[in-house]
Amino acid sequence: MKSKITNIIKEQNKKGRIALIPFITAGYPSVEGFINVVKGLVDGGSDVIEIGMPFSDPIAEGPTIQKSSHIAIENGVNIKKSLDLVQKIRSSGINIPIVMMGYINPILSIGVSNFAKLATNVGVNGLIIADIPNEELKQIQISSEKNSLDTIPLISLNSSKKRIELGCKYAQGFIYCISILGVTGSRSSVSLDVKEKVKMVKNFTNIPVGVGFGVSKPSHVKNIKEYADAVIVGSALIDEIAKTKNQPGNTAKKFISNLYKETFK
Amino acid sequence: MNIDSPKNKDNQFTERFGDYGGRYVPETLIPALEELEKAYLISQNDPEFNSELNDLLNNYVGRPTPMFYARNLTKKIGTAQIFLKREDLAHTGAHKINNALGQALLLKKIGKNRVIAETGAGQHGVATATACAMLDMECAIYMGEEDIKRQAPNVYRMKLLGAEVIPVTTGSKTLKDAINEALRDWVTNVETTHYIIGSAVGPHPYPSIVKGFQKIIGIESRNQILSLTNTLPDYVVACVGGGSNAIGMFSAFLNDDVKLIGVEAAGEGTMTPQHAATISKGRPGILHGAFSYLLQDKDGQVQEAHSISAGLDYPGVGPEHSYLNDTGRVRYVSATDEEALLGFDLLTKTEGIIPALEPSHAMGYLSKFLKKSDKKTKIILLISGRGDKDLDTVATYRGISLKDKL
Repeated sequence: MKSKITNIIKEQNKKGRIALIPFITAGYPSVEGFINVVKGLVDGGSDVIEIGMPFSDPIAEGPTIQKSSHIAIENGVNIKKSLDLVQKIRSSGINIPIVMMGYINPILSIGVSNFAKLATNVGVNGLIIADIPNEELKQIQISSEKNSLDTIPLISLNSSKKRIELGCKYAQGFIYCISILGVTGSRSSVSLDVKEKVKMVKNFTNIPVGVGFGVSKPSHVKNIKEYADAVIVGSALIDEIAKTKNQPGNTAKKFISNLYKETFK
Repeated sequence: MNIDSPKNKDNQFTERFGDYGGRYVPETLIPALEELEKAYLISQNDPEFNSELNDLLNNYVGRPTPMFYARNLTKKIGTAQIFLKREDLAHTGAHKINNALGQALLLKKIGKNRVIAETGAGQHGVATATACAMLDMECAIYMGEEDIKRQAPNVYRMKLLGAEVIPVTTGSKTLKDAINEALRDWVTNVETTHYIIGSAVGPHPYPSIVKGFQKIIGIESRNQILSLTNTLPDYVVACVGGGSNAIGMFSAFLNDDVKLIGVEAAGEGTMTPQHAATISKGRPGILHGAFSYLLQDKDGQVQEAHSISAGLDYPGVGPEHSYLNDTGRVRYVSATDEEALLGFDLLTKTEGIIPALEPSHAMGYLSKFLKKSDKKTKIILLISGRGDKDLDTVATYRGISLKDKL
């Protein structure tokens, strides 16, 4: 398999582990702090890092990520700056796969093909666009084809068989299953419905399936590990970072290594 | 009532208007949009639905709304004959009720009982709350904190009607952010809730559905001007925020030899950053599910719009307007806050009609524009709503407090 993201997730799965994918907004809590957070996430045992490119109107986000997005914009972070930050991360010797998450308008603003080229050049491996339904992925894929940028589809709890099939058709890297009807943000429990959705997705593809939205505790991850290949944790991590004034890198490292220990002990 | 639309190939139910429109939303909303599209298309050929809607439009909303030959205005301006399409006389005081009622009735068919909506000026919120009160549905209205301040009477009206008004404190705290919050609510409660969007914006099928329920304005106007004057007008003028009143009006005249003018809000002037002139000053982008002109910075972040009128204070515009601009079929111009207030005064003093600040922009533009026109020119001006809600805004702008002695 060509995809670096797919390979890493499958390697973890072979070891009986679920791949951990933390999410952090580029330029949060500060430009410098963000770099430290990524280093901390890598040191803590992350397998893939998902980086959010801030947008003024993030309709799929709950309060935590909305706020981090807003702060990042205030810190002067735009799409190009987000990619500059990835370049910085890469030049510091970090090699694990990086997935960018964003909204279509800023990407459109610099041009989809141009974005794909710039992103590939700095070492981005995959792309998630929150407000692109799966039929539009085809266009995104055409634009990023010349580059080794995976397009990662989102599957929702209410996605029909037909739409799951469509998402799988354009899927590269992994498939992102949304565990709840709703926006991002920590929840006290993860619905069992997502287990059924993951099963349905696996009928159509061999590409790994990740579960995200609302995942906040080791007990969630332990549970998801039973049926999915990767898990995405965003708001809970950002909430932790928001609580600590200094050394966000340490907070991030502690958060991931705790999650890791608790899940695999 | 004759609801047959003139035949028009540009006027059909469609996902794309040229390149504009589309469906750019999180995957979770796709099933709801598909369900809505299906229900709407079925309703169009459902005699029961249509007779129920027509009955409500005639006997509850008070349609057809009149077309009034503005003698005094015509005389005062002296360079054109002006006809006013009086949507301000519709129940709840604006054209918004046409769409709110249509969509609420559609919900009954879909079988959802909770309605959410966004509102800027409060007119769509009031219309939706009214439709929900009458059709016995649960109703929550998202409204920017900034708009709640400047539209207090409408906030209270919504509450009286039984709606929950949810203040939105994110971003610019106006219409754009109210739509963001309504979309977040919808993603969360999609299985029980329908989102009645108030303008001809949003993902497909909303722009087509909203136009479908607002085209009654244009159909009536076309019939009325023909029976009043035996000819079609030379110009039709309407204000454009998201553009639902304008698209409803224009849709009946697209194939006629009639010049169409959409008036956007220029706020403090289109040379300043304080305006809402999306088509005049924006460039195409994607906000709230559709590809259309958009006020945005070089990084693709959406900019805040500014207008004295809460209903025009929106950085986007309906996708069909973007298309009609690019094809040149409609000319989009703008009027500043000051010009809108001149229009507001002019109509109030000459005809005894206090218009909302939104159509005051169209009036303001017209009074400038008419200097170059001649007596034979016939113009329909769409008065999309009445001005009661704006009295406080106008007074405050002029340094008057309505709580003091006037």
